[in-house]
Amino acid sequence: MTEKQGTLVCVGPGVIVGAHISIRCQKHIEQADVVFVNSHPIMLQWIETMNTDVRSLQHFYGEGKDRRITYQEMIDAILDEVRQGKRVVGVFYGHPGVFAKVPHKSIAGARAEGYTASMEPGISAEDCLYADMGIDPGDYGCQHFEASQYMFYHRRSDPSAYLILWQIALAGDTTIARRLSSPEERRVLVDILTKDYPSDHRVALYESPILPTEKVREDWIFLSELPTARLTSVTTLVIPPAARLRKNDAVYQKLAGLGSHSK
Amino acid sequence: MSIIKTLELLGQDPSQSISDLSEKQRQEIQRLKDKAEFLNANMIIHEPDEPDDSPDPDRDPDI
Repeated sequence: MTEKQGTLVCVGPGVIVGAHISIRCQKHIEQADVVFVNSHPIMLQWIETMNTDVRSLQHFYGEGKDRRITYQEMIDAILDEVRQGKRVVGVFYGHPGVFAKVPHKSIAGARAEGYTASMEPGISAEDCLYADMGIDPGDYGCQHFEASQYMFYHRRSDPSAYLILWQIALAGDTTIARRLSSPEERRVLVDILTKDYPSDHRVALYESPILPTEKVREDWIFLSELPTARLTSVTTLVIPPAARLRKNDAVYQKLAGLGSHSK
Repeated sequence: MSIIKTLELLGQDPSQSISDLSEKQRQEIQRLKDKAEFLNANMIIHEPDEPDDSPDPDRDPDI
């Protein structure tokens, strides 16, 4: 298929205003014909200083509106400009490919129509968490789940690795209308977790700042305290390992056998 | 200098901190935060939108 003139690049400005954006990401924004932004309003105001045609995607959200309609409207708005032959940039808070359907689907849609489309990585909240909390996912392994999905589906997690649950404030909310689930709903999550973790296991509530003037939140609580803990829309639950790594002797022996034959 | 520019410089320069700001600038930042509502702070993603959002079930070792 012959590539057409319009282009789409989805970029992430990182989490903290001013601190995380890459030079390449900033150049994309500055050189674009039109820039779509889905971020908090302060990040939006900052992006507006980089280009004269910056359009927020936030107005597509509506109280009680089906999110799939919202996302499709965002995708349509982005692709309409690409079809007009413009250099279009989508700016999505943090990393454009993490917890974001619109950039992935916009890129796939643009490519399907024969346009050049790509994604540039940004610094995500996960990246900030590793830096702020001093966690190396290589040490014991690290499992990430959206908290409600972890509850609603049969998931198998490994208590010898870190378990990180995102959007913990909404854990167990089935209404898709509230900003905070109830203590009773979060108690159900604790019930699930206590199959693998003691109720007095120490867990952390983590929040990355969004402004350089703010501080990191890292509050340690007992797992049993989660239902009544203070949570916000940006709180993440970090559960350290509760079990030691167990060596797989059978695999070791198998590999040792391979080693002797390959000499 | 606009408060957005101030925040940008603060984010870019690790030698600067909130203590370098005037009381007026701090109040301005607080006002900015107070009126900033991020509608999409939570992404409702726990349910896959479409069947093809789920991984290939043949790769699921449980099945």
